[in-house]
Amino acid sequence: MTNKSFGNDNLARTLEAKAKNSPVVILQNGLGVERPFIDRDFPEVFRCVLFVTSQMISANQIGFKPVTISPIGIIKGSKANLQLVVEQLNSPVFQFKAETDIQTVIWTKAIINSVFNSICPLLEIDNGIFHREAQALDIAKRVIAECAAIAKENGIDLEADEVVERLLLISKSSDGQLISTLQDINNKRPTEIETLNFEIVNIARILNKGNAVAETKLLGELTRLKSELSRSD
Amino acid sequence: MKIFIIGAGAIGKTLAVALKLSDKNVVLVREALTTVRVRSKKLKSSRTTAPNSKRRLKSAPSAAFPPSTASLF
Repeated sequence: MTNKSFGNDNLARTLEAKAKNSPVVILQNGLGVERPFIDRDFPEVFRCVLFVTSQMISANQIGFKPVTISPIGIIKGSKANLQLVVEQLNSPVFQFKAETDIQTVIWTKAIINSVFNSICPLLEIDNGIFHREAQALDIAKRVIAECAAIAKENGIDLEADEVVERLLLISKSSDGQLISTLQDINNKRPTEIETLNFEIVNIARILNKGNAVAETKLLGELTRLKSELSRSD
Repeated sequence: MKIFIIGAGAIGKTLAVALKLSDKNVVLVREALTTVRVRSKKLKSSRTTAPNSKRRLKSAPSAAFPPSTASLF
């Protein structure tokens, strides 16, 4: 599944009748994107966290830049089948590996994406803003601190400082590039913000920590509103 | 084994081309908001460029797959 995550509910419903027993590998950003397939009792669901940039250059060209090997882990299924899935998808051009601790990778990237996909669209600026502008980095650090605390409460062992370091690396390596949510807003398309900021807010609420993610929530709400306004023009 | 890739955006197309270059049996399927569209096309390896040519890949036949959002990590 390389589709936008907001299509997963409909896809799971459609595929339930067509391919329920095939292994499903989800190559998407965000938290909880596997839920529609788990809820419909798909027997094998795997999750990939992409560490690549891929951008349409023209109708017939794509710019593709692998940053590192993209890990795939088990949401539901066996280790043997995870290995089989990795072998099937891995290639010299687009590399994958099996990951035993996929949840930590998912959360780390989801937190980073919650920062990029809200702050950059709101500022209408490229990904490099965090390594260029101290004020933007300060906001990012506060969001990361909120989200990392929720991750820990949820049993995910990650350090906020490490997430900040990773964010800065990405900011430098993708300087000048526009994050997908900003492109979606510019093109009047739905965004994936629901599976980023709002999913973290939902998890915080379940943990009775809803007040601990106020900035993450506000940024998500502003991004959602900006998206809705752009599509109502 | 046949690999179905759902979502013909930048990632889906890139993955399809990468797998096709490795002689895998791949079908790229466009996803719509309400249903899985019937429109699907098998990729033709003859329309791809070498993977190391400036890291730029030509995509699948474009008529059914208009440009879409970039997937950035």
